[in-house]
Amino acid sequence: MSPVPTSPSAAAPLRGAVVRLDRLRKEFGGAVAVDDLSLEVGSGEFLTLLGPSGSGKSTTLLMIAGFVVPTRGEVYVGGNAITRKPPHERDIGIVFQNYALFPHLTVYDNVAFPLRMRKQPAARVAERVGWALDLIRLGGLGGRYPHQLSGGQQQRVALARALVFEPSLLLMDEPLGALDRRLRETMQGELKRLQRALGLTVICVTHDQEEALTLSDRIAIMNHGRIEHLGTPEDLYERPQTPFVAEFLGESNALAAKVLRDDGPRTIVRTTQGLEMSVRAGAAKSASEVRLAIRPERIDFLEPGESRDNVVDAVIDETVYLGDAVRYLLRTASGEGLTLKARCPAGGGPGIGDTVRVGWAADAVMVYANTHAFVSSSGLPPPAQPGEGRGGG
Amino acid sequence: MPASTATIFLGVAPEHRRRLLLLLPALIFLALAFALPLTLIAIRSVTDPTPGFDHYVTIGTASVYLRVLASTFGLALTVTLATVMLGYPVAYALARSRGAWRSLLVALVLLPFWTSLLVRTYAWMVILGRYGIVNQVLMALGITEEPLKLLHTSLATHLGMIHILLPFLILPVWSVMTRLDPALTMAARSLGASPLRAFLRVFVPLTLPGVMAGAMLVFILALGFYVTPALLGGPADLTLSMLISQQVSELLAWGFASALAVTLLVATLAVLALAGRFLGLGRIWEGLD
Repeated sequence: MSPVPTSPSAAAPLRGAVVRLDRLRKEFGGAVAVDDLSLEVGSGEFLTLLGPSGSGKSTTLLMIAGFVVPTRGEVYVGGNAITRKPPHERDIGIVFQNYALFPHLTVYDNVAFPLRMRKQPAARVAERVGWALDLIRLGGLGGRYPHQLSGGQQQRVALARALVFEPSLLLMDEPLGALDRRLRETMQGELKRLQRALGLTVICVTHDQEEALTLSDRIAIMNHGRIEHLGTPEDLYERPQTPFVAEFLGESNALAAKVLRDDGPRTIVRTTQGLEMSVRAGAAKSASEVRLAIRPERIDFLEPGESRDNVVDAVIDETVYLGDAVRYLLRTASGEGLTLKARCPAGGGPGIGDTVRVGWAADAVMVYANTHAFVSSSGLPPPAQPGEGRGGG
Repeated sequence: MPASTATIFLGVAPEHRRRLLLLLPALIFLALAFALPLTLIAIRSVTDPTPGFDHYVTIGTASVYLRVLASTFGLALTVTLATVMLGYPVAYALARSRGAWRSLLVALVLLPFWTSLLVRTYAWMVILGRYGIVNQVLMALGITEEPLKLLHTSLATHLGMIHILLPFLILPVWSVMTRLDPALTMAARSLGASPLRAFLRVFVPLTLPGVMAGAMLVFILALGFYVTPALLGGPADLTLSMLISQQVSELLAWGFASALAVTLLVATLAVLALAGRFLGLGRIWEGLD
């Protein structure tokens, strides 16, 4: 990887601005799309708004960009309220989902567009466009038209065009969604490298959790116009604050249960299907209804004599081969459905119909008070079946 | 090698031939109804009444015919420019409208389009006539005492033709506008373009292919217009099509009329070829997809 060429105008990188959303709200004819959203994004931070469609993430992005007028609330960039400014006066770079490159202009003219709109002198335009094209390593392709470029190249031109005028903030809408898998991984690396080197503040919107996990410093998981959980990718995955987050990010066995009793450092709960298990003590009040979530990779097949806090016998209903792992759909004697994810065993592992002993630690069970709705089945009680993998869909 | 070639020929050719067969009815119809009469007209123009290129020499030397040719092209050009100026905003409004507004606008564009050309031309005669609506209103308001001469003027010809040809411009332009990704204009705005500049630098250039297609259609239709200029225009607004009709029905000069028709056809084709070359229609389309 060649070093990132520094901006010729300033030896220092671009240095993104601090962005603050203050109780930002948008209603569309009575329906609340974004519900009093407050958020602060640090200078040089990469923050992703992640959520299912209709969660308000795109509306939030459009309000920051100025294309949607908030019902109320304020958007601050670098300490200035820009809520009433039209989009072209905001100085915010945007990379659109399908790049939105101007098909009638060459790569050079596309990248020069924002500078010409700012009436920069020709010499300055040439210098900046050269810098931006070098930045994305497409220096030789200035004369091409967008339709003569590959998807990855178009994506990079879109990035150059959004960065060339040194915006204080970069917005991205599903930036890698249109690329195939291999290219996505390359672009992820390149994007991250550029963002760090230039110190860009980035707000990205996506429904693709992999994109969010790999790119972001912090992720805000959105649902029904609100932020469910804001934290680092590790925070969100390891310690999801709500069952929605537990189910939305990664996979998770969702179970409804009732707290039975405290047992020293453990609390004993029983699921609606009658499966008893011990969870971390103090996670829930006695006799209360709770929601449980267990990551499939935290459940293990047990060797004879091996033990865990929770051990149960189950029959394998189904196996799904994932390449680097296998997902097993299990049914316990009490009728509880569980999903287990394990590395591919070298010798071929258990198969459908086999009875197996599985177990998991009390710490592996995430416990939530029964006030949150699960993501599955549109607000219905959690299904007895374990949550299906929710891969970016 | 010869064997395999034969196999390919035997294997593929019948398929191909059968598919070509589907084109046959249309080809026969075009040959009988279009190519044949056209050829006959071309032949007549150099044989009737005597063989030779006399008619073309006359057209080329007598200034009256060149003048009519020029005024026909002039009329078509003005009408085309007017439909572009009037039709582009309508297409834009159509592309931006939603729901009931859109249905209403579509109806307003299409209903006249579906009405007979003759009916619409007569309607203009009623409106612009000596005691038509316009004159009645003007006199009632005391703006004029005598009825103005509106019918059988160049103005009437222009009005009628613009009205009749507008949908031919609006529809292709509208189609291109609706296919344009709205993110392109948003991108322009985010990059610092004011609404007007985003419109002029991005929206207009990208909808230009539709304008070109529509304008070309209007221009070619306008060149051959007969009914409307004949009924609405004055004696001074002679178009080539009227001249041809005059030659046939009043002077029975079939050969000369044929020569005029061929002249109009060749001139039209020449304009098309020039437009295709210099406006770079193909290249603009290439960029869009």
